[in-house]
Amino acid sequence: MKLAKEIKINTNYNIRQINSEDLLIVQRLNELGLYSGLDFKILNILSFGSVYILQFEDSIVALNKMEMSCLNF
Amino acid sequence: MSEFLNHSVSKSSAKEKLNVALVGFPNSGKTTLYNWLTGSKFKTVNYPGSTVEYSSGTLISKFAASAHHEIQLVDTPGIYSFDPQSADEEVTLNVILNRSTEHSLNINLVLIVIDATQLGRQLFLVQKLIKAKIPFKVVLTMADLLLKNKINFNLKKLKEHLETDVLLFDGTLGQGLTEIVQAVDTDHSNTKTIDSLGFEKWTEDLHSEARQWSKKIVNDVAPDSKANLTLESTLKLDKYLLHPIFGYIFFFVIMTFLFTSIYFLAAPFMDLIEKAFGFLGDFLKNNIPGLFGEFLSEGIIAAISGVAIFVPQIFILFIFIYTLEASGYLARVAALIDRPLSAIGLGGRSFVPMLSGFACAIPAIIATRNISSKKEKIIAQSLIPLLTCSARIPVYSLMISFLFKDASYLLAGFVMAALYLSSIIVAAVASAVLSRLIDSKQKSKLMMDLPLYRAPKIKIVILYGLARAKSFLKKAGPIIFVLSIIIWFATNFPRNSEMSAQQIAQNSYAAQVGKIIEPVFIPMGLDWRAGFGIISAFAAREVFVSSLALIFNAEGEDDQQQLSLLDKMHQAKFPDGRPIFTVASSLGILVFFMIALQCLATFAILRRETGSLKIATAQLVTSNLVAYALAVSINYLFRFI
Repeated sequence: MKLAKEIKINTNYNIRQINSEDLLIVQRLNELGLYSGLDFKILNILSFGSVYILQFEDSIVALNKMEMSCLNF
Repeated sequence: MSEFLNHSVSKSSAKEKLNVALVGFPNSGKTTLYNWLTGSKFKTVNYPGSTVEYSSGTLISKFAASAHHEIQLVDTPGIYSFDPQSADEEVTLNVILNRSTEHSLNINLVLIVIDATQLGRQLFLVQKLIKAKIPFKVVLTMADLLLKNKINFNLKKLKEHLETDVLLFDGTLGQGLTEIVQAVDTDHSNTKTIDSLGFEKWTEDLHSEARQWSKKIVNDVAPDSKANLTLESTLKLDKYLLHPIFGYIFFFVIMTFLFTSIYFLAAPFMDLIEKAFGFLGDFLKNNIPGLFGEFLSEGIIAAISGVAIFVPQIFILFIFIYTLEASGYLARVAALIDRPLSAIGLGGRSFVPMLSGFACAIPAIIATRNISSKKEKIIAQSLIPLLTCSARIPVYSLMISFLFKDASYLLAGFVMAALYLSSIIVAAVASAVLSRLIDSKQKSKLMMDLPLYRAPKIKIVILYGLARAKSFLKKAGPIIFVLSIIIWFATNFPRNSEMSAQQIAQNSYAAQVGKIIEPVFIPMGLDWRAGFGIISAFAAREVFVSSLALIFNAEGEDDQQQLSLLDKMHQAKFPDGRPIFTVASSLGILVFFMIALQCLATFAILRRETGSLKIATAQLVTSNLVAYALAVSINYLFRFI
């Protein structure tokens, strides 16, 4: 994952890989529609830098910092 | 492998029974469809995890009459896969697999409900059903949005891909219901078994395969999809509502408006109800002579009006919370305050059950099922009873009116908001303490869908508010009726024709019992009458007001019952002439009601949801002891004011 200061709001990114020791998180991220190769946009970083609002296709999801760190982009 | 199809014939009906489970992603429109088909008043909201227990109901008569089966519908909590990660998702799986311990449903058919604007993502579930060989049909919801966004759907092709019926449903107008019932109402007598593959953990490869499959289908059935206008307007709104700074300002303004409006918007309606009951009480007393007329006017009518007067406030609270939920804003608030809540051991997902706790603790505690972390769930369950539920409103309103006799509605509204804020602070402190006491390495999870904004239908919002207000009256009504008879009898007997009203009250059965329990309430600065009110509130908090009205004989010549009660409270004195309801003792009452766990139904739900009588009892005892100790301390600290 990029550092918060490296992330630009409203810029397109591509998920290279989804990694986590907790496989349930990876599974739920997949089920939410996030997968390797997906293009997404970060709409905002909220809650004092701890929540990321992502948009991809017609969906908007919120991830916390730990969940966001599973996305390698 | 488990038996899936199991037809049964009802003994009372010639029609064969058919149990249909509505299954889908959170927020896909299952509950809307369920409400239209069953006529249920159950709420439909726009955030993940709004349904945490399943509900079941039969078709409304319009559809039931022409159906060949006796169709029973089951609305299940939203699910992302058949590998549950929280208690609410477990409920859905248990329903589908007929593992429900409470009822034997024997589901014959799954009606998979898909948000048509999210087809690509939600087709995942369909593939899992196909792999598990579960008989299903598909309902595409949000048909109105397809139209609005000019998305052309080739339903025929989608049916061919899925090899089952696919039906369109418009939740705002209820269009498509007849076709859905006809599709469901067919023969399902082939006995099949579930293939567990659909319910096993999916590997990355299986997910990838499913994605390719759904992508291919979407490209085939909706090749010329234009831009999603609803998404565009949602993104525009989110620029402000999810702004790192303005987002919090909007949140603060919205919440302040919500809690202050409970007071100032309701005031004119409360005045109207007050006058109507005053008129009715006078009419009965003047036209029905003797003790019976007195009983009806001062007993029954006074007690009922003591509760009915708060219906406008309950109505306003519920319609505001519903509007926030149904619009899609609440899910965003969960994201906004994830970090502040983490400071007290909670996460953003705890916000929605907690906000529901401001309406009623019971559904709020059940709603904690969608919190995956056990630690967070226990903390949320413990602090929800501390939040200002609607049953506390009558008590707060009475005490605010007493303390700020000539205050404007606006000032009273701000005091009410301050009480709400205080309960939040108390809950936050309790949460922070519990967070340090409970050891857990489980990490907090937030990942959640943020639904597209939708304008709730005004008619549905009003109907929902009315249903909740009716439920409030229904819940409190019978208790109040029985208590009002007991209290009226206890405060008016024994008597003879030569005794004055004051002599009757002082020698009544209630006075005799009250004097025995009075020592418990003296440290709170209260006499036996106020103590009696507090004890009666353990049946239901709102009963406190009607108990006081009865015990202080709040009727007199004044047709405004609450004003009469306030006058009586101002005049109430101990035998040595000291006033009973002082600033100190009144603040003590407020603090007692803010903290004490008086609602026995909440205790029962706590026991069920925590699975521990010990935890529920500990909370019951601790909160009541702390409430009592604080009320006593406040009475001593503020006694010279």
